[in-house]
Amino acid sequence: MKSSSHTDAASEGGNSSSRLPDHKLYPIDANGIELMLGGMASAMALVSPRKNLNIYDNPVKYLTVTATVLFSYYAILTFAGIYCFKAPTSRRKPTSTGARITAVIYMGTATLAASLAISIGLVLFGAPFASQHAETFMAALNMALLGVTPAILTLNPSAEAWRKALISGEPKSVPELWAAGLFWSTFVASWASAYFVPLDWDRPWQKWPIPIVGGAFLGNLAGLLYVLLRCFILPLARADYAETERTKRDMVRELSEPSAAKKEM
Amino acid sequence: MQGRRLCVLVAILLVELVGLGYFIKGFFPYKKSIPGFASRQDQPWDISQPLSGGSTAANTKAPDVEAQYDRLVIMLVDALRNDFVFGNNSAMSYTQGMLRSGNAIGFTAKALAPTVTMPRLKALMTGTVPNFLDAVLNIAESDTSSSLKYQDNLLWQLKNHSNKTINMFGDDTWLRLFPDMFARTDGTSSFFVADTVEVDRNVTRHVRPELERSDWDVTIFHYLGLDHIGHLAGPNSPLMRPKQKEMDDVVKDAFEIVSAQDEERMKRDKSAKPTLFVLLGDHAMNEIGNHGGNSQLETSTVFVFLGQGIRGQPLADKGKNALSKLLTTEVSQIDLVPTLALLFGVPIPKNNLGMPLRELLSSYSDSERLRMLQVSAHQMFGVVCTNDPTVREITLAEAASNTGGPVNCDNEGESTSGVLRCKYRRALAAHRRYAVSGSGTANKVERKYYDFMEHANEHLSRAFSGYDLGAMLTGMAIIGAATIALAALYQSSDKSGGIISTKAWSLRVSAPTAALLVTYLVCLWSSSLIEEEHQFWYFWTQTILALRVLTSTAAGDALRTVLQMGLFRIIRAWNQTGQKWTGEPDIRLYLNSSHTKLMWILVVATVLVINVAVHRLHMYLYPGPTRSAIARRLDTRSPAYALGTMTYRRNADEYKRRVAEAERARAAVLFSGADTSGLRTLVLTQRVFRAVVGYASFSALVYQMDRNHGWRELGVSEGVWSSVRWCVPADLAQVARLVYLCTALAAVAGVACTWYRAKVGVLEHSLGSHEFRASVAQAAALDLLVGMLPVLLLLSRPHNIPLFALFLAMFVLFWSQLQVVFGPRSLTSVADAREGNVSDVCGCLGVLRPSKLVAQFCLANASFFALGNSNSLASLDLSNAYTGVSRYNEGVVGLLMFASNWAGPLWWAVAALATLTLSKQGLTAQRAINTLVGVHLWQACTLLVLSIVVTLLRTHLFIWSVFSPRYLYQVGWLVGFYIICATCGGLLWLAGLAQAQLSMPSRVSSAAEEVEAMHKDEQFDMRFPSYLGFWKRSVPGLDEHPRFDMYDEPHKKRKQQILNDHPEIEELYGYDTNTVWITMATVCVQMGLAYVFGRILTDWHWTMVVVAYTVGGSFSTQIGIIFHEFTHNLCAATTLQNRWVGNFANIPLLVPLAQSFRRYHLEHHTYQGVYGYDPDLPLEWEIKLIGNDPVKKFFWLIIYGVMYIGRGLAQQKQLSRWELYNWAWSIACDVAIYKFCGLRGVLYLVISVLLGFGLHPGAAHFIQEHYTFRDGQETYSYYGSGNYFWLNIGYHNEHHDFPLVPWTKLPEIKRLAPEYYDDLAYHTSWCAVLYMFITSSLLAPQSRVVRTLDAHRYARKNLKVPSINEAKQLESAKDEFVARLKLAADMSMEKARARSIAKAKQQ
Repeated sequence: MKSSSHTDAASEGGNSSSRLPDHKLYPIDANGIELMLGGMASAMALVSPRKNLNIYDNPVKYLTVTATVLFSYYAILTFAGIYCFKAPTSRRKPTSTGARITAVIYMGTATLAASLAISIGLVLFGAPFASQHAETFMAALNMALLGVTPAILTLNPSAEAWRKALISGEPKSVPELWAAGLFWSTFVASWASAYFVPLDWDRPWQKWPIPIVGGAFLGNLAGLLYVLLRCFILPLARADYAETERTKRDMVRELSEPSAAKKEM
Repeated sequence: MQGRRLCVLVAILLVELVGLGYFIKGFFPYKKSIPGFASRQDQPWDISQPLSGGSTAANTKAPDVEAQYDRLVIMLVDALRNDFVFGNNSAMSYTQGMLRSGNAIGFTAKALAPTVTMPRLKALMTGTVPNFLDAVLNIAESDTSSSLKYQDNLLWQLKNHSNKTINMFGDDTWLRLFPDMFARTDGTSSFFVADTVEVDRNVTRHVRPELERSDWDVTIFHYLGLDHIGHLAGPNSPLMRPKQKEMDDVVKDAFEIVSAQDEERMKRDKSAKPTLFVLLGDHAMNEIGNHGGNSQLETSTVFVFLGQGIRGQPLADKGKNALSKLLTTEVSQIDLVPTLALLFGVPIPKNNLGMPLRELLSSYSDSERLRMLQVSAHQMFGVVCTNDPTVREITLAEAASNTGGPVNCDNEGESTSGVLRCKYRRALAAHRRYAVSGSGTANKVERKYYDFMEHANEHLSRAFSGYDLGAMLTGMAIIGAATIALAALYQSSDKSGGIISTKAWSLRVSAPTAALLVTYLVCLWSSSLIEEEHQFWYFWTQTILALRVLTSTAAGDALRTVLQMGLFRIIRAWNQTGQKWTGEPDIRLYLNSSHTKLMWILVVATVLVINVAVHRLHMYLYPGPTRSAIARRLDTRSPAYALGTMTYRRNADEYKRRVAEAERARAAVLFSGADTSGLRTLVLTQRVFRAVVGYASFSALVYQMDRNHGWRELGVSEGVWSSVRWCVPADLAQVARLVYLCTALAAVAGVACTWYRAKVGVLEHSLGSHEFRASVAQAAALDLLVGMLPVLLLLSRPHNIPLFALFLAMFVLFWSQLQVVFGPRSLTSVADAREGNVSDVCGCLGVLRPSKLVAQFCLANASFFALGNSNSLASLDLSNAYTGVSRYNEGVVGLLMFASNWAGPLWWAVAALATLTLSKQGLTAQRAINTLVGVHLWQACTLLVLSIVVTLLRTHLFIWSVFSPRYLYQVGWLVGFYIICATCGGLLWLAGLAQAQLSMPSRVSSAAEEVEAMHKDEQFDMRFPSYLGFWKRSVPGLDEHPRFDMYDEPHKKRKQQILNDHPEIEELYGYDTNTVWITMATVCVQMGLAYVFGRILTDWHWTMVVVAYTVGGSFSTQIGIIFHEFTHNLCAATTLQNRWVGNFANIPLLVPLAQSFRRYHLEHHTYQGVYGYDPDLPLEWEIKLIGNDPVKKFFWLIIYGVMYIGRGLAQQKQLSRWELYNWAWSIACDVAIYKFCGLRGVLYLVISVLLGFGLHPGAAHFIQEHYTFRDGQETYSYYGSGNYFWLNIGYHNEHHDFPLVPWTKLPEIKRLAPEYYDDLAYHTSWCAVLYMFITSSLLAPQSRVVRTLDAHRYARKNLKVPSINEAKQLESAKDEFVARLKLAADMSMEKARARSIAKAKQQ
């Protein structure tokens, strides 16, 4: 397998293709995407609201299960080194088991740190301060796993890289788009779903922290679709477009100057 | 120019006010009521009497039911909640005793919103549903237009129809409502909320003397103290129980007096009747002691009836909770009206909607009671008729007819009024039947009357709201026009030419501000989000601050903003308001109940902080040539300063000398060229200012301490306290006035400071590295900011005072260093300077950075709620509106009420003004007016949307309890806050939306260029050595058929080539028994899942489908790959064993596929791409049918697995022996599975197979393998993560080259011979394969390369590399093949080409 090279559409562009022949069919390396989709779908299917595992009755237990599923999913991908995009520093696939375990530990620690930061953020935004700590933390953990862990796995562990990927308006590479898309979709949706909390509908799902986590999950799903579109499908479509144009052009040239084409050949 | 814009702004605002006036006129109308007073002549004919000639006149003379009582005592206790009387914590033991022994009857009386006194009194006396406007007029005391002089009411009836003498003592609202009604009165004003003792003493002193007289018939006592305690300290205040006891004593006294009198009177005069005593509340209070809203607590008040003839159920239970049943025995408050009218034998007031209380009529005989109900129902039917003129009166004959009338009224498809009329008729008919023929029971008739009255009440209370829709729409149109004009004005600027310009299309709002506005306007549509508006502002303040954290460029900046967020979290926890969480614990509760000492410490600390802040501010602004100030101002890097601090302890004299030296040097630098004499005066005026503000804040502290006994809470003895407060007057009202006076003096001093600052000139110097410029405007704004604090402290509740310290801290944190208040260093900060350049630093994300003004705008709104206000009338705080006022004065009280309720927004408005002056650009007229216009635009948008909301939702359930109060608050914000404070106060109000325009840098590279750059033409010109063909792909639309190649399939030749170079690959040949274990595991998983879904989780439906797709589909496709392995004999040693591995793997697929797959797959390898021989090729009709339509391709992919069977059948071959075995085996297995797993298990497997071989990543390899994604390449590999699960099926080039290598070793081939595989195109994602295939216009079922058998064989013969000439010959020979096979291009193809050429040329 070729080492996964990140073809940055905007910055590298022409150089890369002239430097080495374009082996791949697409401008992007979508490695891992199948497992990712499959993992997401299975997690959702297996952790559907059921009698014995009900988010309404016991959100902490439920969120623990979802967090475990999500975490083990990331852990497997990290261990196998097959996450869709990998941080450029860890571009080379970890060869030794020790290196793989280190990668998993780094992922876990960073996720935990992120979830602590998110917990504080939730409290600042109005989560109960004196009670329901477990709920808040589990919500934060799930949000971190959904929104931040992709960035942890994709971006270099430097503040500058994170700033560029997540909050700058500079043109971004595909892995950066991937991280930023999942990050913002998760948190914006979670933010927006907070509007359901004060409504007087008196539904069981309005209980803290269900709207927030629910929003995070739905937003993450939508974000996943978006980043798939943006990071995989759009480059494919562009490639397709360019290729179609080129084919037509070739054909026109062939038809208009058959002799020249033959000669060239 | 700016002056003209200001004029336009004022003109627009005036227009807006006109629109607002129109709207209010239409939305809050005076209610129409039936004019005139009811008389005995209106009484209906007694239906139980015989019909005497049908003459109405004769019948009205029929004798009425006699009055049961002569005299009435109404004791109204303001805000008497039901649990104050019935609850187990009540101190009203006498009343409770009477209720227990059955000598009294009690109810929980439900009041309607608005739960404020005047509308409640109106309801209690007229029986009507109140008008919302009453709630507003309740506050404006002097209003007389709401009097009941011309509206029928109970008191008028008592006075005029039974000649009662009425006395009233207590709340003077009664006097305004009933002018000239009372014989003797003593009114007390209800608005001195602070007084809880005197108001009641004023009433109680009349009780005994007045009742003991004999010249009264009706006496009303209205007690206010309980309500005042609620307002001041809440229902759980320690004052509450003593007050209840006091009220209880009054009940006891009064009732005993009238009982004794009654006995005497009735002994004297046989015709005399007893006295009725009623204890009631006008409304109740919520958990913090306010009222006005619609919550359960606010509306649950009390009726207690005492007197002879009143008999309730005596309670055997003497326990504390015995009366708790009464807490839920609910009647409507207006039921009092007909009940009393009937008991006293007077006509029921005309507009009444209440029903007589059944329990109080129990002492009458059945016929009397029915007659009373008839009278009552007749009155209510009169209201129905007035309300809906189409309803016909019920004629006598109709009522008296014996035919029975309708039995069931609910099924009639009539209007509500029709149904009501029917119900009334039914009741009358039943009554008549009962009276004449004695059929039915009185109870049944009674129930029919009540049924009618209940429905009538419900219908009428809903229908009683007359809006003037025309006026509302006019108002709305005017407000809309004003909004548009404001928007245009906001858009316009100097550069665009006109004052109002629509030319500037680019929106002058930043992204967060726009989002804020849109979200806010959307939230106005939701009743809960209006009730919980504080949550909106808290949430958005944090959001804005969080955005500032994210987009900040300096770590210090971010840290300070995080600190602000933390502070704001504390602020938000201070007062819990709204509806949903209103009872939750908050800091206010904590400070008021268990930690009062802490509260007072915080209050004192706040006053200290304010004084320190003022001092620091002046130190910073114009320090004056004083030693301490100069010493602090010294540059820390100056050697004198450093030396000084070092030597201070050792040598104080030396230090002083050095400081003096430095001071002189400093002053020379600082004030060179400045008017030093002016400077001295300035420093003096600043000192005066500080002293005055200090004294004012101290007085405010004394006021709060004295009024709330704070010094006692702090443990200060009385002597110490009196010595502390010797310098302020003893009288509290005078202390308050002193604060006002001092603030006025501070204002004067501030003006003087500003004057002298202007005279001295701008102080210009440099501190450290950055330039510093303190302008006069900045100084004035900051002076104002701290100077107004004492008044705000005075007008706040003590627990809210520390909030102002937090506000101050938050404001300070907006600046990069804490120098404004806590440090003397530079003011205009690095961060501030940077703020202007954010777009350079932060890229286009600069548009996401909210300005300080936006943050402060949010804070202004949030602080309103943080101080405990909400959008309910209940939370309007009246307790501080009378601070220092001795006589009621509308203007002053209104102003104070506004200042006390809007203290937070007022302060933040000034803070925003200061921000405007402090920012880098400084305060220019243009910025000021822009900000002003922006804020007014915000208000206009809100008002417009709110007007639309209340118009559309005018029949909504919450219109009176939620939307109307919100509208009133909006008017409060608009009129009170913005118009008065902003426009009239000149340019003081400048907070809001002005926002630096940050332009987005245009993207440099265009999409087209990117695509161009990404894809360079690749040319494969030789088959050797990688055996890529010369052919172009078959392009749908241009070609009709798959591309014909003149060569054989490439793999066999490539294999030879590779083996030449890497003979070691042959060592990889063999088989891998691991596949067997994987097969077993896979089969077990599938069977296990089938069992789980078939037998255990039988109610998991959609989950089963999802699992069947994700898990089942994956394993099914894996089985397909196991088939592939056994086909090539790669699982076990012998063919037979391999065949059985296949059969075993076949079990979960249910359909016999393994052996057929083997047969056809081997053909595929032999005849790859040979037209008519390769079963992997799509059939001709598939290609035609599917074409290039994405939708068709999508569905084609879904059934792709099924298509394989069709292609096999198309070969029309006989079934082989092993295929038959396979059939038998599969059928046997299927039966077993059915027995073992049940039908649902089988269903799971079927879904797994169908979905798995459909649009599933695991099935995408069918497309990936041979569909032509590139010119010249026939087979494609997939190097992605799917290979881990799907047994390296992606290594397809390798597999076709070396079919004898088992899957585990395929990657090894690529590793050993990279030069052959690295140049081949490959896939990295199966999802992308599927996506590309569906969406790409270059891919369709025809995207294959095919060859004729002849060509295949011909090419196979010469295994050598063809020369270019040979290749060209073959290329030209291709056309002959095509012609021969009659698949060649026809005219339409030529046309398609011509079209595409024309198109390409056009482009």
